[in-house]
This record gives sequence, structure tokens and C-alpha cells, in this order.
Amino acid sequence: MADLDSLETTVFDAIILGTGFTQTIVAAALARAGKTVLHLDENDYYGGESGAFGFKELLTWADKVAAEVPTDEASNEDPDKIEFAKLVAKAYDHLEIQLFSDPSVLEGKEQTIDLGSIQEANKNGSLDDRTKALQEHITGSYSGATTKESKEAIQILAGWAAQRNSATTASNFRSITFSQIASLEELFKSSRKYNFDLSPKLLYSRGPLTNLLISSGIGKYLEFKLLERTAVYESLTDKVEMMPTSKEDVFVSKALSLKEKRLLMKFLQFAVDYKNQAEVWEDYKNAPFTQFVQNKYGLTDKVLTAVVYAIGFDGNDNATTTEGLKSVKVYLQSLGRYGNSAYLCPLYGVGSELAQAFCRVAAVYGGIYMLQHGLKNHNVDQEANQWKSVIDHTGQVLKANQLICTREYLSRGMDAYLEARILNRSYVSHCILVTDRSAFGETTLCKTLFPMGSLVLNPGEKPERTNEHTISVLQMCGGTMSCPSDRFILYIWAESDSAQGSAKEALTAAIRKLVHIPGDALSLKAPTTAAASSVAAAVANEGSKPVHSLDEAPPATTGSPASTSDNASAVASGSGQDGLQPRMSLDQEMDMETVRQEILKAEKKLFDESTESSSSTPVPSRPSTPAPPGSSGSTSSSKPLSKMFQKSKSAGSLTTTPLISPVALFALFYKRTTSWPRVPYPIGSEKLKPLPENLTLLRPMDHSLDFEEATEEARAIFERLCPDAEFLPPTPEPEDNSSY
Amino acid sequence: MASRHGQKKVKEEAPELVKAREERESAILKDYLGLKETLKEVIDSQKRDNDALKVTTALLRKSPDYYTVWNVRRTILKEGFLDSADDDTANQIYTNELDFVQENLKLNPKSYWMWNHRRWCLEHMSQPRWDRELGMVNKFLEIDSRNFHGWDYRRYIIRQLDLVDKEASDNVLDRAQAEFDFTTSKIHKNFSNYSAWHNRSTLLGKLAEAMTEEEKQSIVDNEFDLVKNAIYTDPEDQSAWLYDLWLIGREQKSISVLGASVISFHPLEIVVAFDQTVKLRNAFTVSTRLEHVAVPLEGEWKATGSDASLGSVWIFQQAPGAVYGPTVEVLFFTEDVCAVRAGSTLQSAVCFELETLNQDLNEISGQLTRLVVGKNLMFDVTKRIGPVAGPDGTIETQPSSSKHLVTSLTSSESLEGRVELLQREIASVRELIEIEPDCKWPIQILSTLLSELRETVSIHSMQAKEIDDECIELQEKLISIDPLRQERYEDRRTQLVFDRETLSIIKDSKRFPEIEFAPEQPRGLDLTMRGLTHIPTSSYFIHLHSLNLDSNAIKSTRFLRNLLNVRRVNLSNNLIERLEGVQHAPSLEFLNLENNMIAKWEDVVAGFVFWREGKLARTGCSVKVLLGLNPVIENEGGENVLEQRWEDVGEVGIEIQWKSNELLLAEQEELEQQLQGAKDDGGEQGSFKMDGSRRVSTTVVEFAS
Repeated sequence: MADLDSLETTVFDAIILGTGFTQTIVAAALARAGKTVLHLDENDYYGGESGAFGFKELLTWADKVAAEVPTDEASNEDPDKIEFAKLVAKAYDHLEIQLFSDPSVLEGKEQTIDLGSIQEANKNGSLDDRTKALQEHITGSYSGATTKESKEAIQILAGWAAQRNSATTASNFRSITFSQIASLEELFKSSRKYNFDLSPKLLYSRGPLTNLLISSGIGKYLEFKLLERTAVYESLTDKVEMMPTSKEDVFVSKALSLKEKRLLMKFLQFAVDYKNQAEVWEDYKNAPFTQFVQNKYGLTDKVLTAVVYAIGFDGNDNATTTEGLKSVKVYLQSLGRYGNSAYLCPLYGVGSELAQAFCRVAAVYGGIYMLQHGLKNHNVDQEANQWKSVIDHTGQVLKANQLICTREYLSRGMDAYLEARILNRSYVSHCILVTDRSAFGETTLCKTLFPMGSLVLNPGEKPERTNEHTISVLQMCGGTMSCPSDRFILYIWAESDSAQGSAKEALTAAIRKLVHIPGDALSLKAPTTAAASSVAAAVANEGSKPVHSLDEAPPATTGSPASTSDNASAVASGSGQDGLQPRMSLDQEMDMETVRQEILKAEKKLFDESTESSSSTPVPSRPSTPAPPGSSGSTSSSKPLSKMFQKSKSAGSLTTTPLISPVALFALFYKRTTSWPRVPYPIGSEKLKPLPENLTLLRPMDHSLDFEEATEEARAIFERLCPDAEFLPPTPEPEDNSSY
Repeated sequence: MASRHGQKKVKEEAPELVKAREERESAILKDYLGLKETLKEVIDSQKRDNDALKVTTALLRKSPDYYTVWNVRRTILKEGFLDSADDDTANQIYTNELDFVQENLKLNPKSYWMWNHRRWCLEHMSQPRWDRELGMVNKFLEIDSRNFHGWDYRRYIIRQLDLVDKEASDNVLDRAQAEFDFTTSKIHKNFSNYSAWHNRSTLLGKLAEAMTEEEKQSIVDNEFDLVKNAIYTDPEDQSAWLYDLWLIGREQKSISVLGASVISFHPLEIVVAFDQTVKLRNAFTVSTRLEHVAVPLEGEWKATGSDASLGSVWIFQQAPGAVYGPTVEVLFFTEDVCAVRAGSTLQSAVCFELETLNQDLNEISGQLTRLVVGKNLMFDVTKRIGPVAGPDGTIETQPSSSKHLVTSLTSSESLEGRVELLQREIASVRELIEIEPDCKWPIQILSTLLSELRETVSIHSMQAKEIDDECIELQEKLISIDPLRQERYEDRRTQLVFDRETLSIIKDSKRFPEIEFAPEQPRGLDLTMRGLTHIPTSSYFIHLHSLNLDSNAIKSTRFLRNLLNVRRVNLSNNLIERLEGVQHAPSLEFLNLENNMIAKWEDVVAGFVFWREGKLARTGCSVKVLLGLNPVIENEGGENVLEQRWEDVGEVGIEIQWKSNELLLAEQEELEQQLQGAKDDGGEQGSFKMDGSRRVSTTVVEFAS
């Protein structure tokens, strides 16, 4: 083991650069196997490209990756120089922040501050001067700048408005409204309640990662919630429909005909056991999965969508039958392990929590961690083609036998080599969107897919073509501890084949189907049109206020909070709670033992409740799963029977469209490159210097829905480096010593 | 190491650990046995104090299913504490008991004795908190929604709550509705829950009482929709199918009186045939007209067979010395009979008028002096009379023959409604069979639905015939896909084949859906190789003279008890193990039992002992029984042994042939050759003779079918 003072004198078994998801598993596995590990990250946070941030940190991150990194001319010739910041910035493109007007926040005191004249007047001044001028102008016009956060908000807004060519803001801030300031202020106030994920993903309840978390004991550090539902956008209806993805769903679904239900279940029964029925699918092995499902099982479009997308889609649009069946099977195996869902969602941000959990294990087994640790050069023994050491910002020479890192940590020469080997480029367009209520009614934690080529576009809408790749949407609620309880985060992302076209262009059409974007007539209608029109009428009677600039939303699109219908607040408050699924840890598997434990735990609570309850109506004490509307006991006595039954008939239908469309409050778009050479290692003679043999390069996080490939990659790397050691065996526990 | 991935780790126990465990276990056992001893002392010593109670507490903690201890505990509580306690103290004691049970139920939620103890406490408390109980059982059902103890207890609590609300029927109805919704939510979570479906069916019955026909109809549709969703989701799940079956309901079968006749005049004997096995609640009324006044005729009713209280053929014998006039009336009131098959009733009173003028029965039969036999004359002399006045003089209103109220839900006043429902369900289940051709449940349900549909049409209609044919095919399909229940399907198939083959014997009655004997009765019936496992309705065969059942799978001859006229029965190549039911077959002359499973001589003799003792047995006639190829011949050794046993039956005139016909033919051939040879040899001609073989016939009897 090495201590901090002797870093330079130690030759580590491995130096790992970057605390991205894959690196942390490798680090934990190596440390667990007794290897000495030095784990460094230039960032001041864990998780790298799958990091998670509060609101302020997200803005900081955006600034950083959007910033122009000046090329250091002097060291241009040095192929061993590490240019982390530059490579990170290069990996991200098309950043754009949008802050929407939500006039309801201000209860009608909405005003617009025109910034155009100030921008024009100061156009020749320095950025700082412009910012200052704008800040003064805004502060002067806005009377509400009383809190620390509002001052901060104005400063940030001024900064955005001051930038001339920045991709971050572009022309979004020619004028700002009071409600924008208030909205930003609100985001600042609750900044720490947000955990924005840069690469949002889910875990299969019985996938390789979850199994690893359990077998290694690392899962003990984590808490999860079950994904509630999966929805899929359907071109035919131009709507997002909840998909039946489990036996229970199929049973209660009203969308499927009886025959469709049977065909779907029949297919699923086959898929569980597909490996033993090779004769059924062998002919289709390399054919598209969709084709197999359609030809062999004669499924209708609706069922096909459910099978191929809601159940079998893990991010790969061109899945072969072999791949499709594999992921359907993982899905089905996962169902029921922790409840009626196949996916787990870690709390407090997905990627960084997992990364930290693995790092913790690495640290327990002697791994040394240093974040925010600048790196300057790689030393490579050119003759032997061996990487030797890395020199950090203090000039320390850190030596190891193996180097494991992602592309951003490569030296200039290595990166050039890699770059030259990339033939097909790939990108992921991302959007992080904050809304005021769930886009899926009572369902709060939910994923949605827009199958490739399915998006029905409005006339004249851009892009003109429909989506070339499937767009994934993940909605997180306060229950996942990634946002305040009255807010929701929609992560929207899609694969992209070209650097051309912004993330915004790629994703907006899908976002429009889910939320109301103030000022965007093509998005969902503003919520509570009835309420809004009544407010508008009232306003008209009073002698209406001046109309604001055209690219802003009319101020009265939403009613004031007081005028929103009961339903609206019910949905908002109901969904703002902990979500419908309880939190759980991985040991809460549905077996008899758990059931016993559950009884023991519930016992005290039960008595308290039952003594308090004076009504005889059975009301489940804890909404453990979504209770079908209308099925919880009704006590009113004068209801005609027929009506009551009507109600129970509709129970269990998968409600899809929310009563009130959510309003977009804030959006961040970015496009990240995931380009990767098909063969990263040298073949035959090369002009460029090949990568050192003892360097293991990790793939960038891709657009897939889950971590399974990354987990498998980490395992493969570990097994290559330590062929004789076990991959993350259980961490011994004190109680293991006394076996009884 | 890598190969260990995914493998379950088995801890290998070190010997010292094994030893330690064994020591711990033996300590636990010793402790337990000690407690048991103490308990015995407590019981013997009549101690009713706190110490005694503590012993039961300790024991029940270790073994909550030890029900004696619960009883002892209750005795101690009652005699030692409760009898002398005031209300508050008693309540405190009961509350403590409830807590104690609750604590134990957590560990063992399926113990009858604990739920039982809980009920005892609550029922003895002055103010039981039923609502609190509901909260508790809710929790249990949340943890295990299929715990039938929980469901049972839940229904119990609801009953108790309903009792409290006896006056407020609205509350009761609301509670039923809430319970109904509760089953909905449980079923939505996991529909493989027999308890929930069952509870639903009971609740629906209750709720339906307050509904209009229209509401009921919409509920039925709703329920069918729900259960079909479950069925299509998982067609192998039994609980949903059973609920479906309940929803379809069963046609209320009516008991039919097929016919009645006088079979003897001195004394007067009357026989009545039903279409199913019935039990007599009251004796049928028999009366006669003497000088224009109807007077009751005393006598006794007995069913055929060894159990005289149960049967499909009943015989009345007048009391000695009673006098009767030229006509005798037999009256059946609806409440007189009940069917063995649940749900069947005699739907209206029936009366038969029998003539007794022509008393020369010999003219008809020529053989038996006391039995009416002959060319279908038995029921020619009967005349049916329509609805009759009840014993109190009121005319029984004849219930609508198209009343199809089967369950409380699928009732439909009209035949059309029932047919419509059945046809809708048939179409739907056919669709499922198309997708799942090898699933047993939809095929069974289709068969049930078709049989129900058959109840709504004439048995001689084309549709009935098509249904029968299809149902038989369905049973055969079932046998092939579900061999574990083969016998059940074979029995069902037998019923169907039987119904199809006996169409010439019965006809539709004017009182649809009842049936009666056709006026023309066949004398013989050939049912060879029909795969029959039994004779479902042997009263149909009351007229038959000969019956050929060769090569079936019949296991019992008990059906012979109703074949009052039969002379020749061929049961060769079946699965009969013993001879039964021949006591009421006095005309029996020939019984072929070749190649069956009779293994013991007693199993043959017993049958004929009854035959001889049968009230109708006659003198001078003999019956010939072919026993060849039965295990008994090998077991007990053919001729010699049988000869020793002969005393048993010799006097009643039974002729036994133990060699099979085939063998005999061969022997005869050989014999003829020998004779030929002997002739050639110039030996004594014709000396080979089965002398004294009255018992052992070598005569080859051709069976006339």
C-alpha cells in the first residue's frame, strides 16, 4: 500500500484516470483483488461523463464544456501533453440553455425587460463591461431583486445575454421577463435539491450490474426506486401510450384486444425460454428483431411496439433477433424481483451514485483517490511501446504498470492516433428539461420511447425529417431525490450519426409531444385552457396589459395558482410526493423471508394505524403499488350501483395523457460524441504511433438505456488484467464470522 | 476462480460447527420436551394460575400449531381469570390474548389454531373492535394476497360488522361494494388468486340482490370481460377458469320420470324409471279408485340394487291384503324426490294412471309369471296426466320450463338470453383455442358451454347431434393433451357416447326440457367397442332383452340391477372385477364375462347369492356364465377347484363355462380330429362326452346380439 507522501516512489499496479462508471468498477475490482490502485480525476466531482450535478453546478459544467480552450502554441509539438479540458470541450457540442417564462409564478405581475438596446449600445465593450451594463439594467428594471439568489440569477442572465456568439445562449436573451428571473431564482434556491444526470440510465433488476451489486455487497450503499411504467409514442394516434410490460399490465390493459393479449403473452413465454427453442428463431438469427417478431408471431403493430420497444429496446435501433431476444429475456427475468417492474433507478442521480459506491469499495481496499487533480504529460517508453508514468500539475511522476483511462485523458499523440482510426462517427443528443408537473399524469417515474421514424411532424416543423433514431425519455420525480418534490426532470436523448444538426433540433419534436413549451405553438397546448381563457377574459375586462415581445409566451397562458382547477393541484401535489413506488434497497427481494421481515417491521405501525382508523373501509395504509382508481373503498352511500360498477370497470386502465400538460421551465441541450474506432488497437503497419500496450482505453458512455455493456466491459478488462482473481467477490462482513 | 461465477456457494460446515449446531438443537429439544412435561402436570393438577398460563405461552411460542395447548390455555383463562373478572379486566385479558396471537401469527400466518383463538377472544369480548381486525387482516393480505386464512377471516369480520349493522342495509351494501372493490384491486395485482375470485363471486351474489335486470346484465358482461382478460393473459391459470365456469353457470337440470308400469298384480308391484339417480324424501303417493272414491294404497317403495334408498328405478310393492280397483294412480310431487346430482329437481308434479284390468300377464310374457315384459308394453298401459293438485288441494303452479337461473348472476328469464350468452362465450373460447390448440382449459370450457347449449334444444335435433359429436372429439383431444386426467375425460366421453347411442330409447317430453321413454323400444342394443367406462343411466335399459357391451372399458356390472327384462348380456373384453347387480335381472339367461379382471371365485358367487335371494328370483331357470380368460381360472385352477366350490351356486342353476369360446372351438376341432382318428382306429365311437357336466358346459353358445 502506498501513502500520499510516497506517491512518487510507488509503482502502482494500475493508475486509473477519470471516475466514470466503467473506471470505477475496474478500480474497485482491482483494489479488491489486492492490486495497488491510484485513481485520479481532473474534475472536482465523481462520475465523469455520467456525473450528476445540482443546478448551479450544472450551469458551471455547461460553461466549462462550452468554453473555448485556447491552444497552447508552445507545447503544440509535444505529443505527450495531456489536454483534458480541451478534449472534454471537444466531446461536447451544440450546448444551449433555455429558460422559459412561467408567468404563473408572478401572479400576473409579468413584465418584459428589453435587453436589445443595451446589447447594441455596449456591443464594442468587453464581455465584462457588457455583462455589467446588462446586470445594472436588469436590476434597475426588476423590483424583486432582494434575495441572494435573485441577484445571482440576474448576474447569470446578464452573463448569458452579454455573450455574443456563444452557443450556450445564442439569441435566447434579447429580452427577459420578470418570470424568467423569478424562475431562475427559484432554481438557484433549490439548486442543491437537483441531481442532474449527464448520462441518465437505468438498471435491470436482474441484469449483470444489479447482480454484481448484490454479489459484491456494494449494493448495500445504494437505494433505489422502481421504474413505474414504460410508454411508447405511437404515430397512428400521435400520442404517447402506456405500454403493458408485465403480466399484470397485460391483464388490466384496455388498449389490447383479448387476442393481442394472448399473442403477446405467448411471445413472452417463448422469450423466457428462447435459448432452448433455437429451432424457432435460428433462421432469423441475424435478421432484424422486428422482422422475426412480426413473421414468426404475427403480432399486430400495437403488440409489436410493446415487444420491440417497451420491453426489448435497450438503445440499439438495429437489434438482430439474437440481440433482441437477449434483452427481452433480461427484461423478463428482471420483472417481479422487486415488484411489478424490470428497472431500478438509483436515488440521488444515477451514474455518480454508482461510481461513488464502487470508488468507496476501491478506497476500502487501499485505492488512493484524488479528485481535481491536474495532469500534464504521459511518459511512454517508445521502444517497448509501454506507458511508464503520468506527470501531474505539481510535477510529480506517478508510475504504474497499467494505465486505464477514457479518451479525454489521452495525450495529444494518442488522441490523434485514435481519431485517425474512427471511421463511423456517432453522437448522442441530450436534453435535460425541468417541468412543473408530470408529463404522464399520476405516473411519476417513467420511461418513454419514440421509436425510430415514428415522429409525426407538424407541417413546416424542423427538422423536416422524422427521427432517424429512437428517442428515449426518462422522467424523474422528487422521489428519486434528483429534483424538488414539485418539479420533474425529463431526460431526452437519442443517438445521432452526424455532427451536423443540434441536439435541440434532434429532440424538440419529441419534447413538443410531452410538454407545453411557452412560446412554442407546436408544443402541447398550455395547461388549463379553460382557466386560462377565463383569466384572459378577466384581464380583457380590466383593460389588458401591454403585449410583450413576440418570441415570448403570452403572460396569461396559465391561470394563477388560485384559479387552476382542483384537478390540477391534485395531480401536482399527488405526483409531487415520493412517487408511487416505495424506495427500496437491493435486499428487498420478493421472497418469503422478506415477507416475514416486512410483517415484523409493519407490526408496530399496523397497530398504531388500525387503532386510529375508525372507518371500516379498507384503505391500504401504504400505497405500495399504484392503486387502480376507483378501487379503493368508496364510502358514500347514495351512489347508484351501476355507476359504482362502471367505475370499477375503468379501473386499471393505463391512463396516459395527463389532464394538464406540464410546462417547460428550463432546458439544457448538448450533443456528446461517442465516436469510437471499430478496432482501437493497431493492425499492421501504421504511420501513427500505436497506443502503448499497457494502456487500456475505455469506451465512452453510449446512448443505451442500461449499464449492462459497460459492466461487461469492466469485467472483461479486469479478467484480462487479473486472469486468476475473482471479479468483485463479496466483501466480508463482521457477522459472516459467526455463521449462526 | 472465474468458473465460480453464477454458482451458488455452498458453505462447507466444519465438523466443530456441526457439533455446535447439534448441541444447540438438542438443547432446544430438551427445553421443549421439558415444557411439555410441565404442561402435563398443569393439566393434571388443575392449576389455573399465572404460572400455568406461562407454560402455555412458552409452549405456544415454540409450537403454535400444538392445538391442545390452545385449548388448555382457554380453560386456564376462563376458569382461572375470566370467570371472576369484571368487564374491564376481562377486556384487558382478551386484548393481551389478541396481542399474543398477533405476535405469533407473524411467524406462522397459516395456522388454523391461532385464527381460531382470535375469534374466541373477539366473540367473548364485550366490545370487540372489528374495524381494527379489518386493518390487521388487510396487512396480512397485503403481504400474502393468497393466504386463504386471511380471506376467510376477512369474510368473518365482514359478517360480524354486518351483524352490527343489521338495521342499516345501506351500510351492509356499501360494505359489500367496498369488499368487491378490494377483490378487484387484489385481482389486478395478481389474478392467480382463487380466494379473491371466490370472494368476488359470493359478494356479487349479495350485490346482485339489489340490482335491476339491466344492472345485472352489465355486471355479467363486466365480469366476463375481466375474467377473459385474465384467461387470455394466462390460459393455464386455473383460478380464472373456475371463475369463468361459475359465471357461465349450470343449467338447472330437471328430473324426468321416464315411465311407470305395473309389473305384478299379486301382490301389486309398480316400477318407475327416472333419468337419474334419485333419493326419496317422501314415498310417492299411490291411490286406487274403489267405487269412485280414491283411496290410498298402502305399500313400500324400494330402489333396485343393494342400496334400496338410492336409484334410478324404483319398485312399489303393496302391503299384504290391500285391495285395489281397475286403475291405480301414482303421484309424484316436486318435493318427494331429490337428485343426487346437485341442482336437479323435479320441476312439476307428475301423475301416472295405470290400468289393472287385464291381469293375464302370462299372455304378454309367456315366460315369467310375475313380471310385465314383452313388446314395449310395459309403459304402453301408462298414461300421463298433467299438473295435479298438491296434497293440500292447491294446484302446483308449474314453473316456467325455460327458467335458466343457475347462478344468481347469469340468470336469464328467457331461453333466448341464455342461448345468446352461450353462443357469445362459445365464439370467444373457440378463438382462444385457435391460438392455443393444446391448452386443456379452453377445451374443457368449450365442452361445458356446448353441453349447456344442448340443454336448450331438443335432444333429437340436428344441433344436439352436432354438439354431441363435437364434445366427444373434444374429450378425445383432452385425453391426448392431458393424460394425467385421462379417466375423468373418459368418463365424460362415456356419458356423451351413451347419450348419443341411446337416442332411440328416449324422446322429448311435451314438458321440455324433460324427457320420457319413446313409444317404440328396441329389444336389443349393440354397444360394442364404444370405449365406455360405465353405463351412466342404466334405467334407459329397463326394456332391453339383450345388450352387447363387448370390448369396452366397463369396470362394474352394477348397472345390471336396472335391467329388469334382460336375457342376454355380453360383457366380454371389459375390466370387470366382480359380479354385482344381477339380483333384479331375473330373466337373465346368458352372461358373457370372458376376458375380464375377475380374480376371485367369491366375486362371482356373491353376485349370484344376491340373484338367488332376489325377491324376483324364480325357480327352474338357469343362467349360463362364461368366465374364460379371467384371472380367477388361473388363480383358482379351473375345473377341479370349481367343482369343489360348486355347492355354493349349484342349486340356483348356474352353469359356468371357464374355458374361452376360442379355446373350446380349438378343442372341439381337436376332438373331432381325435374322433375321426378314433373312428379310423376303430375305437369306441361317441364315448367322449362331458358327462355330468351340467355345471360345466362345453356347448359353444353363439352370442346373438
